[in-house]
Amino acid sequence: MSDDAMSEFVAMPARLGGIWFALDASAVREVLGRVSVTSVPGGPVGLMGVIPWRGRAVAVLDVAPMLGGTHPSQEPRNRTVVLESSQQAVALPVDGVREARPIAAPRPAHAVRMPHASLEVEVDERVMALFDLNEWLATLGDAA
Amino acid sequence: MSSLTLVRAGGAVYALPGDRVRAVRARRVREAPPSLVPGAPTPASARVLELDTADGPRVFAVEPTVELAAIDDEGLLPLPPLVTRATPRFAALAAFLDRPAVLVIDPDQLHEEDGP
Repeated sequence: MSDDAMSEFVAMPARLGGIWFALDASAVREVLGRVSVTSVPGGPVGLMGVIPWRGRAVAVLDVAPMLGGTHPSQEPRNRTVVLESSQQAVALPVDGVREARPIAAPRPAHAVRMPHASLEVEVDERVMALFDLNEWLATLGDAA
Repeated sequence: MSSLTLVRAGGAVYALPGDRVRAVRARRVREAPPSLVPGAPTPASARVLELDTADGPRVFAVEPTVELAAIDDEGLLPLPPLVTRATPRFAALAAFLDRPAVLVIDPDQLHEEDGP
């Protein structure tokens, strides 16, 4: 693969349980450790709560239901990825992340299926869904 | 600086603007105020929070522990649209330096239909 092709897209792999998925690294603002989340009663499904981050409150979203719902939502997670979309910043608690790296351009999802992930990427010979934050936020916004 | 009254309801701590709290008192006989948080059970040994709201004075059941706190205005963080659209009763996140952050309730968004 040429260097040009490799530099088309930068992905950050994240893991929840045994499932890896990819985040668009250009949207990642910070990776925090385990955080204390303030629950929001009456919030939309998928909203775990909010955390203070850089002078504002950021919504903490639960990725687990999209991965099959096998990971208890209330289980503390070791890493919290803060991403910023065109709409707002959000935080995703995950069990682990790996360093961001340039990869080949995402392709339509075929090998892996995950809600809000119409594309997939290949990182270190592992195919994983590319999570579409904007699409998910639009869904949550409609539901709210 | 803003003064906040911290109350516990439904197992969590919430903050209210101190200048909107008229009193925190024992519950009177036959008084059955709704919980401050919809859906949360009203504790048997509840105290009653008297609040100034947009609908006039209202009472809500809260758990016995009540604290006062002061916070720098920079510690009152605006909530994201995802939260405010779904739950307009929450006005901000109070981020303290020495204790966990809590949601600040907007008394004017507590309406009659809210309750257990």
